[in-house]
Amino acid sequence: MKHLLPSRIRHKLNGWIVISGIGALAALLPSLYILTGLLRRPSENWAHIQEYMLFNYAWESLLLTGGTVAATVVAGTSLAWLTTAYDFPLRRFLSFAFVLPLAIPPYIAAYTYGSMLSYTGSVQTFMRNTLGWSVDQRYFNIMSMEGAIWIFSLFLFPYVYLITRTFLEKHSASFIENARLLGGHPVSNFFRIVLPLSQGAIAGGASLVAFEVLNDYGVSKHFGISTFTAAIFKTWFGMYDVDSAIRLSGLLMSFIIGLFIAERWMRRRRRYHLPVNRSTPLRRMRLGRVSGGIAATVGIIITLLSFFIPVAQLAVWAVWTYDDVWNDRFFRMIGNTLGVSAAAAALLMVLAVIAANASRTWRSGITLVSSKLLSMGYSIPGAVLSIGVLAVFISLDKRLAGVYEAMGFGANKLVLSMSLIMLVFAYIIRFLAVGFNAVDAGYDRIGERYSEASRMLGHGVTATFFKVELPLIKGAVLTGGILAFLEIVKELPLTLLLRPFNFDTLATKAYQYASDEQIHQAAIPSLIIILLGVIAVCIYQWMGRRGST
Amino acid sequence: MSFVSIHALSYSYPGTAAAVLNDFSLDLEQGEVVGLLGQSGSGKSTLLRLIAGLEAPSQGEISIQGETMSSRHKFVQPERRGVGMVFQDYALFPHMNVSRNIAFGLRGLSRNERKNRVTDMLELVKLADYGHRYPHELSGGQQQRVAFARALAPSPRLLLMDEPFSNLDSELKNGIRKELKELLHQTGITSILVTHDHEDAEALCDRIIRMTSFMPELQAGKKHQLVTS
Ligand SMILES: Nc1ncnc2c1ncn2[C@@H]1O[C@H](COP(=O)(O)OP(=O)(O)OP(=O)(O)O)[C@@H](O)[C@H]1O
Ligand SMILES: [Mg+2]
Repeated sequence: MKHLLPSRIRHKLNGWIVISGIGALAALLPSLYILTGLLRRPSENWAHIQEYMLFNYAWESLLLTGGTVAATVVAGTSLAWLTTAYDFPLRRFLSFAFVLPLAIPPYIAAYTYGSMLSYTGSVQTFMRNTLGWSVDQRYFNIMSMEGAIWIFSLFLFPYVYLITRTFLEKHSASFIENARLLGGHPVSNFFRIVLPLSQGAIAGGASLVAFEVLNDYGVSKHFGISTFTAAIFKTWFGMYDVDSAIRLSGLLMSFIIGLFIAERWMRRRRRYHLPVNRSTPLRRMRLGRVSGGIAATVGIIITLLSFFIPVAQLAVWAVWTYDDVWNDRFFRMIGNTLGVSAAAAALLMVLAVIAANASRTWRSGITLVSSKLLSMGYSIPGAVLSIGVLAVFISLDKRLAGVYEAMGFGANKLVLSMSLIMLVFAYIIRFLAVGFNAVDAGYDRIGERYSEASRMLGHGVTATFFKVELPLIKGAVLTGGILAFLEIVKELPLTLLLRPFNFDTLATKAYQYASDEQIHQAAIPSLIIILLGVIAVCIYQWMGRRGST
Repeated sequence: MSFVSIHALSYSYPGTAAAVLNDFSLDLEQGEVVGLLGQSGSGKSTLLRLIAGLEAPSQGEISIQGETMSSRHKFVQPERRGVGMVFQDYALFPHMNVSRNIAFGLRGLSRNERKNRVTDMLELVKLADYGHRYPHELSGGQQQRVAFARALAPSPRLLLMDEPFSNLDSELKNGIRKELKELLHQTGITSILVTHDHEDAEALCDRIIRMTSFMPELQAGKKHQLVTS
């Protein structure tokens, strides 16, 4: 077997690579299961689903995703350009504040705004009772397609903003300064130079937005929009037709893989050889009094809407419901959340480190592909992934039935698929990329010299890892672990679908309150999630700054 | 049987078509110091990496003391080759002080033996009082001497040096060159020195090899030219 491999590969084969290969296969299993679902014979329901659901639901999903991507690209790119190229009052504060919405998961924003703007919500009550206005309900109905696009755009634009801004700060100085010297008009410079240059960065941000929207379950459920994910749920839990649900998932996944490849392809074509001009960042142009004032005002309105107003509203509700929510059971639930998230994050980091190490010692096509596959886990919607994971675990349980019987659990028991192991496994697949990217960046920073020096001094790959690499990348490993942990804490769709009976996390509890019309009670768990999110945002900012020096 | 034997070695980096080395052969006698000269990109560093086992050749064989290190059927991992290397940027471990850097390659020794060996090495490179410093607290020349001490501490069979002087200014270089000559003489170690500087090579080496960058259309199949000083 070993001799079938080319000698160059064979000579670098080690335990790390074998482990990460097995890990990659395990991580791929659920996705493969779903994709092979497309090849199986459809059930008799399928014709019905195809006729009455498929097209409508796909169209709604496309509309939602397309609308959000368009809005976030416009907002994210122009704000990125505004804060890198111009100086105006409050610029420093605003350029950080524009990232903060990432701390608020869209599902929390959806029910916060939904309730705020309702007939009995704070906005309309204020208008009616204090201002004496009577308002047309139509203008306040956010529970619609437009409303959902609005919510997603307000809370996801930072992906485009952040990636584009980082790119512009790093690379654009010389081009733009030249264009300015050549006397181009600022607006035409933006369209003729900035936009084409940052196309790759914008596409990267936009694809993250698209994946988030397609992953969403909470917003569309709360607003009653029939997305593709909703169709999967309906066939699964409404019609109990698991085969068709898997089929739908397979279709969605093929679409996403297409999107993924398109994004990579677009970026590859656009990879100019850009001079990295670190010593001279772009000199910002000072805006005049009026235009500066307008820029600052627009910026403030955006941050108020996308962070401070919803947080303030949640804080008010939290005060109202404090006695009701804050009790022993709530504490136990927080313990649950933090415990499972920490365990999953720790395991995930072990795998991330092994994978990053392997992909480094074995620089070749295959490891490149597998690291791309790893990062794809992040783009598979939670509902799709959970169907795959569930299917794999149930068939595993069937296979282990004999073992369970011998161990005294009784026959025909579902052990693994009823346990937290399944949820942890799903978390790891979904967020492995977060840990992997952090570790990979850490490895990039130290380069290969130290590892090679250690090998030359008689230490093997493993000893080198523990004695040399780990001490040098431990900061990166820690950051990756914290980021993965925070992502897991706020994860909703996977947790909702794969948690054991009666197991609640902060996210599921908040969601449950909100869907039981107890929106005020959802405020405290939501605020805790947002606080953890703010910490994550700060870490990302700090990492970015360190990475660029 | 020569001490180090490199036979018909070919190599190209993964994903690139052009060969960096093609059918390259070289033999070293025990205790010999060979200088490798050649223009940038001619594959000097690549050759050292192949000998060290940091890359696996596409074709050809490398053996040390009659023992095959790289061939079609065999590949000895770098940590098992008993080869020491001084890197261009020294690669001193930043999280260890000088003593621990030097002790890093010493295995299978008692605590005391190890301590003595470190002290000996520090004295050899004239840095007896610097054991507790960290690499970033040393000058470029001092760092370079630590790199030598670290590479020599485990008594390798063969020492590879990739442009060890390139980070030093010329005044410092003259002093260091003399010290290195003494050091190589004292230890009697077989070594290969890659350098850009003809003077370095003349001063330090018993034999000089000039590597010409391989251009397939001009010299297909020809062996690299050997120039003996
Ligand atoms: N990691 C790599 N991947 C692909 N090609 C490489 C890699 N490292 C080196 N090369 C190529 O291999 C050739 C030989 O490189 P090498 O570093 O061995 O040259 P060198 O003689 O040491 O040059 P210098 O004197 O500049 O150090 C060069 O053409 C270089 O571009
Ligand atoms: Mg070189």
